[in-house]
Amino acid sequence: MIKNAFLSIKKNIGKTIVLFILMCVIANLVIAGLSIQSATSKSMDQVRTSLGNEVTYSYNMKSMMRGREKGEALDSAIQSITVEMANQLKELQYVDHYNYTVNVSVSSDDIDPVKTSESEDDSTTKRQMPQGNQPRMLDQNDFTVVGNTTMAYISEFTKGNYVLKSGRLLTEKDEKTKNCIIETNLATDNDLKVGSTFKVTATHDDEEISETLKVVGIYEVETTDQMGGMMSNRQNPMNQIYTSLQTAQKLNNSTTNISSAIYYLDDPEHIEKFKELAESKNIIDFETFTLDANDQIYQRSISSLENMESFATIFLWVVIITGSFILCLILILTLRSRFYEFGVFLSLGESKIKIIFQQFIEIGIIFSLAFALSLTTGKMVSNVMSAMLESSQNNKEEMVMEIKDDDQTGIQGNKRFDKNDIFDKAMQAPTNENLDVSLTTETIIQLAEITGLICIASIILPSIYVLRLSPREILIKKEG
Amino acid sequence: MDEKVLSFNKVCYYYKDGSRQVNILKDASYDFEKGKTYAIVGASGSGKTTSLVLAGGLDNPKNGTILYKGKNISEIGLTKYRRDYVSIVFQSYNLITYMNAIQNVVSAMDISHIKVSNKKAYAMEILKELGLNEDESKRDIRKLSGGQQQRVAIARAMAKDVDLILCDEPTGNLDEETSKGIIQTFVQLAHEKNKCVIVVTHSKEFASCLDVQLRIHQGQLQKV
Repeated sequence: MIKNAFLSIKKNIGKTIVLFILMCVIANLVIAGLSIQSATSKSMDQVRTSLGNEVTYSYNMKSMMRGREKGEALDSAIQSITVEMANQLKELQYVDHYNYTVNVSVSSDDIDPVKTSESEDDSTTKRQMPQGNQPRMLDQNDFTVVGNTTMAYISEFTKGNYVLKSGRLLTEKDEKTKNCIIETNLATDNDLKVGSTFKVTATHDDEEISETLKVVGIYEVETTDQMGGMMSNRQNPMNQIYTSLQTAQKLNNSTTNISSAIYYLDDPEHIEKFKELAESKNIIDFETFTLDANDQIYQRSISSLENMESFATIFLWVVIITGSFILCLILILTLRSRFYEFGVFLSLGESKIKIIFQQFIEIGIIFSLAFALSLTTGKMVSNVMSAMLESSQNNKEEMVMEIKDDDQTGIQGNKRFDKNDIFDKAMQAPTNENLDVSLTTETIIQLAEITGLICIASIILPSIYVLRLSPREILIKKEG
Repeated sequence: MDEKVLSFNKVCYYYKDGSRQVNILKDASYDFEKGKTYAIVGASGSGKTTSLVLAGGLDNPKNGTILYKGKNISEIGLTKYRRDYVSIVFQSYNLITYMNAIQNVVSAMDISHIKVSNKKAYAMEILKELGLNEDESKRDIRKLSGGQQQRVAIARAMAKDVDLILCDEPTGNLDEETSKGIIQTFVQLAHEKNKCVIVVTHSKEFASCLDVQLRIHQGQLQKV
C-alpha cells in the first residue's frame, strides 16, 4: 500500500503539485489563525498577570450609590467590612497572604502637616463654598493614619514608589505596638527621627481618641499619582502615617471594622476561580461588596485582543470549511480517473478499506511535506496578518494596549476609593506591545490536528461514493 | 484425474430494464475442471461476460450458487476469493498505469500475499517466460504495445499461482500473430501447470484451440 502510494504520487506529479500547493496554503492560513488566536490568549494572560495577583474586598460603590436615598449621607449608606467577613475569605483556596487596611483621619498638636498649598491654614482646611456666605469647616484633620496587618505587601513599597530611608517597616509583630512609619518631609518639618514620639487624635461624635505613636521607620515618596488637584493635607501621601492595624482600629473607635482587605493569590490566573469560589460559598453579599482585581483596566485592555481572537476563530473556521470543500472537490474530480485503478485493485482481491487507506497515505505524504514547509513560511504569514490586524485595530480605536510591568496596580489605603484614580489607570493602559505570533508546540499540534481533519474529511466524502459500488460497477464505469 | 475447480449451480442473473426483467443466466449449471481450457462463446449480450464476472467473484448471482472446489464463493467471501483463488485477465488489460510491468506483477503478488523471497526477480522470470525483456518490463506500461500489455496482464495472473484463470476476450485487441502466442500460453498453463482456464471469446479460431467450447443459450451454459 505504502509502495503503491509513493508510486502514485510520483507518477501523478501534476495532481500531487496541485494538492501540495493547496495544502500549503491551507496549512499557512491555519497557522496564521492559530498563532493569532494563541497570541491573543497569551497576551490576555499577560495583561492579567501584569495587573497583579491582588483581589481587593471593598464596598460595591456602584451598587451602593444605586441604593442610596436622595440626600442621604454617604457615611450612612456605606456598610462596613468586618474583620470576621474578611477572615472567611482569607481561608479560601488560592490565597497566599492578605492585608487588612483601616484608614482614619487624625489631627495632631505635636506635629505640623506637610503643607499641600500655601493658602491653607496651619491645621485646618477651610474652603469657601462657591455660593456660601460663611466659611465652612470641611476637614479638620491633617493626617491619615493607615493601619495595615503588615507592610510587607503594600505595593507602593514593593514597587519602589516609596523607599524606606531609615529604620524599618512594620510587620505582624508590631500588631500590639504603637509603632509608626512616617514620610521624610513630615519627619524633617517636625524634627522627627527614628525613636521620636508624637500624639495623634481622632474625633468621633465629639469623642476624642488619642494615641502616642513611636517612629520606627522613615520612608521617602519617590513617585506618586496622588498629588495634584484640590488635595487636602490629609490626602497628601506625605501626611500618611502607617501604623499597625490594631492602633488604627483604636483610633477608628472600632475593633471589628476595616476599610478594605487585599488578598494576594498564589497565581494571577486564579483570580476568576477565587471570585467564583467566594460567590459559590455565599461568603459575601455581592450586592453590597465587591471583589475587584483591576477588572475595569483588564476589560479595557483586552477588548481589542478579544476582537482579534474572535476574528482568528472565524477565520480558522472559514479556512477549515473552504479548505475541506476545495480539497474534496479536487479529490472527487480526480476520482473518476482513479475508478480504473480502484476496479483493478478490487478485481485483484484488494479490500475497499485498503484502497481508501492508500488514498490516506498519499494525502498524508503530501500533507507531511506541506506541513513541514508551512512551519517555516507560517511564521511570516502570521506576522503579516497580525501586523494588518493590529494596524486596523489601532486605527479603529485610536487606543492601543500596553502591557507594562510597572503598571499602577497598587491598591492600598484610601487610594482604593478614588474613582478618578481607577479612571486614570483605565485610560493610561495604552501603547502597544506586539503580539507574539511565534509558533509554539501547542500551535503545531493543533495545526497537525486541524489539517489532518481536513484531509480525512476530504478523503472520506469521495470514498463513500466508491465504497457503495461493487467491483463490477466500478469496472463498468471505467469502461464507460 | 478430473477435479472440479468451479461449479455453476442453477445460477440466475438478470437486470431490470424499466419494469422489464432481462434474464441473462437462468438456472445455469456447469462444472469446470482442472487441467482444461474452456471457451465460452456466443453473441454479444448473450451473457458471456456476466458469466465470467460471476465466476470471478466480481458480483453475486441473483439466485443459485457458484462453488469453488465445493465451497460457495459467497461463504468464502468475494474479496478473499478474488485475492486467493482466482486470476482474471481482462480485454482491456486493466493494468495500473503508474506502475511498470514488474511493479504490476509484484503488486498482485503483494495483494495475494504470495510468499516468494525475491518478488521482483520472480516477476521478471514470468515476464521473460511470456516474451518481455528487462527493458520492456521496466518501461512505462503505457508505452508497451497491446500484445505486450496483455502479456503483462497474463503474467500478473500467473504470478498469483491460482488454479482458476478467467479471461475476458484476451485477444480482442491483438493481431493474429500475437493472439496465437497468447492462446498457446493459456493452453500451456492448463496442460502443463494443471490450471483451469476459462476464456470468453468471439473468436471461433481461438475457441477451437481450447479443450471445451461452451455457449450460452436461453440462459443456460451448453457444451457445443
